[in-house]
Amino acid sequence: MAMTPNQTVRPWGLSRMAPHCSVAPLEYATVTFDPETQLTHFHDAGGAIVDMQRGTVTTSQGGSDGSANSPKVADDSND
Amino acid sequence: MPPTPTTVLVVTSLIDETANTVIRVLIEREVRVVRVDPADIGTALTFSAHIGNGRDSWGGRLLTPSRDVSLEEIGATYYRRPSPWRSDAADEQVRQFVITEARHGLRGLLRTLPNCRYVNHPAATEGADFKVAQLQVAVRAGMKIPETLVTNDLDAARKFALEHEHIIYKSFRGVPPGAGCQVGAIWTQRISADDLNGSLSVTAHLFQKEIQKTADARVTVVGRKVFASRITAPDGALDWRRGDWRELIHEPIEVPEAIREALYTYLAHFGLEFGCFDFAIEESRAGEIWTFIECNPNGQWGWLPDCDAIAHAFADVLLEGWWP
Repeated sequence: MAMTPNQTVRPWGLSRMAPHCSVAPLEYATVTFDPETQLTHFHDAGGAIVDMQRGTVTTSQGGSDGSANSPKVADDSND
Repeated sequence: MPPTPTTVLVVTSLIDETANTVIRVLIEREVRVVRVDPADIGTALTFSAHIGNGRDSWGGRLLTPSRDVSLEEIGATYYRRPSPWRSDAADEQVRQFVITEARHGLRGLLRTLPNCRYVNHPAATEGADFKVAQLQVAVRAGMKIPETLVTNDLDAARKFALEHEHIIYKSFRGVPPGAGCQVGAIWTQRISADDLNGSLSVTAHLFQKEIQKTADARVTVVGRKVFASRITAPDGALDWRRGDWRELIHEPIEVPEAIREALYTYLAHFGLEFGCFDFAIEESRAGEIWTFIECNPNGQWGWLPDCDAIAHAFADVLLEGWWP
């Protein structure tokens, strides 16, 4: 019954993957660092400050925290 | 005499807005903040540290374009989410060398600072990151957990599925980024014995008895402070991360005293100052039943209604015992 494990077998868990979830565009274009306060500020393409506080959801592909809200990447390390 | 600590070191990336929230509070408390992203090692981050010749702990300096700090001045480290290590070397061998040496030399130092509180210590975070460890520590701390099977054995998984009316599958870590910009997701989902097959054998899989929950709770513990929200999704989703986070309903919820004590025990076991706990809540005649689902030792909380109070709790824990 059991299959012979080999490198071509796609693990069962991946068969449970949602086809893909679209990655929302980042809500900011650039990040600047304020040397005085050590805070960072998020700016849109026009250079205006983006408020990253709650109420915004940023979906990012990375493992880092791009906003006050967690990225919607389904890796538990991000929750 | 060692210098009096004056500084909180914040180890994280530039794009970490949650760290900004804590830094704002630290500025209010008039403590010096040094923000460092270890991946900047190079001209943007220079360090030197020495030990021996009469010294039994590391001394030295950390230099960024905006700060120059002595290691002994660092009273606390807020270890958040540094960028992945990087190297612009084209050659893979060189790249790996650069990264590995930096990890051991710089990261090793940042987790060995002599007079420093850590929130959380990265070693504690690493140890607490394994769901397999979490479940055992949770149940031993007195919390209810879902009956769980971890296996790569098809027969064991089938048997588990047949023994329970509903079981769920969830991945340990999610799906790594694939080619292009597609992001896959494995949401916590109900599965049946018929769904299973031999392709289970190539890796580890986690199955749990499904909890008939009516809500989730997110409990954020920082030091002794406990912040809890009942979270309900408009569609009653099994995995609330799946929907639009803006549509989630957060309500304050009281954490039962026994759970609160178990959370302190849990954190103490792993040496954590902070953890984000997820619970499933079932209604019963006797009241609410709380089931431990998992704890993220480096979890997110910036989206919670208690965000500001949590940031203050982080400052309290970071400054405890050395800053007025």
